[in-house]
Amino acid sequence: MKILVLVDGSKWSQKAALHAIALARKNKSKVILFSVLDRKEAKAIAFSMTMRSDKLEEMERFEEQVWREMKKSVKEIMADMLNFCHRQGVNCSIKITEGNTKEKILSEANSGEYSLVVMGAYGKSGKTRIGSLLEDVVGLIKPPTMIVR
Amino acid sequence: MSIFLTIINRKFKNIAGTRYERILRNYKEFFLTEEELSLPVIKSILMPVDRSTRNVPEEIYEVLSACEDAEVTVVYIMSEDACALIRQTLGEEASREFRQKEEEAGRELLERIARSLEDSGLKVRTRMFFGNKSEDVIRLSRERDLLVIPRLYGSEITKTRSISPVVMKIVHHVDIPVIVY
Repeated sequence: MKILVLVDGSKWSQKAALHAIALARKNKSKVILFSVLDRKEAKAIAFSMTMRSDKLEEMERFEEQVWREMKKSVKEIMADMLNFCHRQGVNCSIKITEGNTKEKILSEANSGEYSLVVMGAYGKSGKTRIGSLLEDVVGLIKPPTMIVR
Repeated sequence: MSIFLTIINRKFKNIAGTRYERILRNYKEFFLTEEELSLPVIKSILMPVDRSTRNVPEEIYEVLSACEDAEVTVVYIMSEDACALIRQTLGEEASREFRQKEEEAGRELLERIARSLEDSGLKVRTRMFFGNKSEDVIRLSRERDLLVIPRLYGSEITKTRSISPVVMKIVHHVDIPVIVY
């Protein structure tokens, strides 16, 4: 059995990974930690920050800086999670891709490789409301999908 | 700036020094604390089924078989509202017939699913009652560690959506992990 864990760096996706690891330990499944980097997120952060500080001329440079940080951050988070999986004796690998988050998730989850998809209920903005991504994708993912709080 | 939060989390102690406790308290919904970094144990599972549940996929039995020693409660909730509507519009006899057919369908489904779950090594309890599907599932979930629900639960008549509004309501209101299949 292969379990796909959707990782966005939030606390909730880390909790999702813990559930996947617990299941995988018991029935010797393989866990795939999957993350999508969307350039639009860097653009939105750069736009929002430079608008507030009246430094519009620095927007593109800031976007580049945020994008570099996002890539570095995801790699670090995934490496940490991978180490944790290995310490728990779980067969695990990581997959990082760039592009539209919803499209990439659906394409990976519906590839026919996975028996279970695990994701956090909330996004990076915290426990304010169910993540909008979850509402977008949960009905479109074909394998059983575990939503973790 | 939320993308940086996980990095801050990891480098936290060095950056924040003595302010660690206060910052942890203020930002607790973004941090996975050391206490939370433990593998969850699932002992009690709620599995509502209805006429939309023709087959439980093999993957669900496989996943649940990993929850050793867990007890699964398979529940068939028949709509009290539908029954009342039939009584008001078609009369007592039609309502009785509806109840009878619902109970037969429920019994057959519960027996079939319970057998497959027991074959996967799980302890199983079954329940069948008239009630409100979303409200009762939300209520029963409070005493469970995991909810496993078909994506069209509560919408056996209209199947125009990929996930039923009843399931979305339940997902929004329960505090435990939910597997939607």
